[in-house]
Amino acid sequence: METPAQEKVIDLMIVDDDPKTLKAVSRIFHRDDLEIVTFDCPEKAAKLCNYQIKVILCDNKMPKISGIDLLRHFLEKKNRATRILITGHAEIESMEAAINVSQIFKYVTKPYDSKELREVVFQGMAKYDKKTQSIAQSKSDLAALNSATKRVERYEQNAKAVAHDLRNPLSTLRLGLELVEDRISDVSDQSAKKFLEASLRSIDRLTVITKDLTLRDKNEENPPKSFTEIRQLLKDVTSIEKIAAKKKGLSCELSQSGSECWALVEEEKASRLFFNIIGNAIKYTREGGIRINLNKKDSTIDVEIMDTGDGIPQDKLHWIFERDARLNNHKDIRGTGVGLSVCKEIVDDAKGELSVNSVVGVGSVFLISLPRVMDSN
Amino acid sequence: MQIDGKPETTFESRFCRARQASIGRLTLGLAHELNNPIGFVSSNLQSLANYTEDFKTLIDQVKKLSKPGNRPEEIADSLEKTNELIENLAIDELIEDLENLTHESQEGMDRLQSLVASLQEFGKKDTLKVESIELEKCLKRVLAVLRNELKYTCEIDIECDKSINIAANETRLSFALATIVMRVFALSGSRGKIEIKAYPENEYIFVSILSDKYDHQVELENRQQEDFEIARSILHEISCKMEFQNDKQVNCLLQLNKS
Repeated sequence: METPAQEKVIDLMIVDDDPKTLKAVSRIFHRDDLEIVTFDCPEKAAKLCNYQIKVILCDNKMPKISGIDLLRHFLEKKNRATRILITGHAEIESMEAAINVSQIFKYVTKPYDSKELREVVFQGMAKYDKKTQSIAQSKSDLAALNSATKRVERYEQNAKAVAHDLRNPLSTLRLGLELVEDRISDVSDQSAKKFLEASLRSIDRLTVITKDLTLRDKNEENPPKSFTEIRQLLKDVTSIEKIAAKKKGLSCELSQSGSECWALVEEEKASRLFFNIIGNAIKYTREGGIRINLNKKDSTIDVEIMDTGDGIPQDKLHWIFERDARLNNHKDIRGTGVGLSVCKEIVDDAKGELSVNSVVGVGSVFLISLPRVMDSN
Repeated sequence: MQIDGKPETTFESRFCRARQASIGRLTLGLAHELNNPIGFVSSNLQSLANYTEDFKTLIDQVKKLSKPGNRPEEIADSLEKTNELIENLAIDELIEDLENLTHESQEGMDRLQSLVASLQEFGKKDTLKVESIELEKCLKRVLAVLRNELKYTCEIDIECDKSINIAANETRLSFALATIVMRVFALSGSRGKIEIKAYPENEYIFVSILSDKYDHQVELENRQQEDFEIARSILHEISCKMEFQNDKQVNCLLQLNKS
């Protein structure tokens, strides 16, 4: 028989070594306008494994290649055709395993009933159509997802570029306004001074946002790989933050003992983590001070940051690490609300823990626990 | 146990048992052979019923066409519908296929008839009667019964003059020939081609059963060996000589007396 063009979809392929059976089965579908191909030689049928075929209907007992083996061949070639076997009743039990391996949709026993056979074939076609639709839908969803992912990636890159590009102009703007502030320090125009102060605060807020945006992007691209010596880092951070604390009349003390403490976290991120939390503590404390304790334990490095600030209500404790979380009573203090969420991400990426205890009117204790790198490493 | 009033011999009981066992073994294959023609004949009958419906529909439409008192425009309309029907029902294709359908179904019935007849002959009661039998028919009946065992891995060619008759008990001769053919098939590794030729030469009839392969590593089962010994005894009874030559092929040559 003539092999159809490969791009044509074959509705039904019938394979049987008995030509009379082939013709009789084809006749069953004469009213149905189906694209049918028939083979009395299973080896020739096997060559169509790359064709789009909805249903393969195959006799089992054939010379050289059995029906089971032919259908398994199509399965192994990832042909999506629904596979139906015609077999003698006595063969079923001995072929159960083979039927399962070839993932036969249904089998029909001989002598077959033509109405039953027709129904099974149409069930097979419906199964093929459903599978094809599902694959098409998945492909479409995947394409949409890829497109959306690319858009998000472009937006992220743009945001990163914008954040990066804003830094210099913001610095220049701040410098300019500080110069103006110095020039008008003797002038008694209060509204001008207030305007300048508001402008400076806005610039600071913008600067914090751009820094956070840049860090967020880095967090997502670069999971922690290196180690950081926490003792020295805390010393450096504390010495810088002491200046800000002193301006507010607050104390800022570090207590640490023992030898070097290496934690499994990137230095830049650890630095950001401690600057954020200690900076926050100073920001939200009006009087008293901040104390930082470093403890080296068996498998972790624990850092406690205690403040004598306003404290956080118990019902708010669970969401302060969410993005944009800020307490109502601190809306006047500069910050975007992303700082603690960034800290949480840094600690989670490092497989550590970040928690807080707080009493309103007394203060808060932030506990950072980072995995410790063993000295032998 | 007695067979037709004669006392049972050891050979008789051995032959009886071997024959019954072989019929039992062949039953599954025979059922499969019956399934195929039953399947397609039954299917063709259903298709014929569908074709008949289509023809009926066409005939009903033609009747409208030839209704007395039709106005010209009614006739034209009916004619148009008739032509449409002929096209939609693919009547021309049905007519063409009708002949094939009936012919193939008839062949299927003939095959069934032949198979049943062969089975009846092969399985009939042993009368011990020696008679003149047509060798060609005997061989064909044997091959019909063995067909399912052989057809998937082996090609069989038979060449036998219709006029060759031999004197033998057909039941026993059928068993012997079946056993020898299956022995040749087994020794060939159960594959390849087997040629069976029967020809007269001088006062004898020679039957050659030849395969194109010989598998040296085949080990025959005890049952196969026993059946072969019984076949040898049967042939000896009718003064038939048997010679096996196994080299690159399996060649069995029988020398029988003419009837």
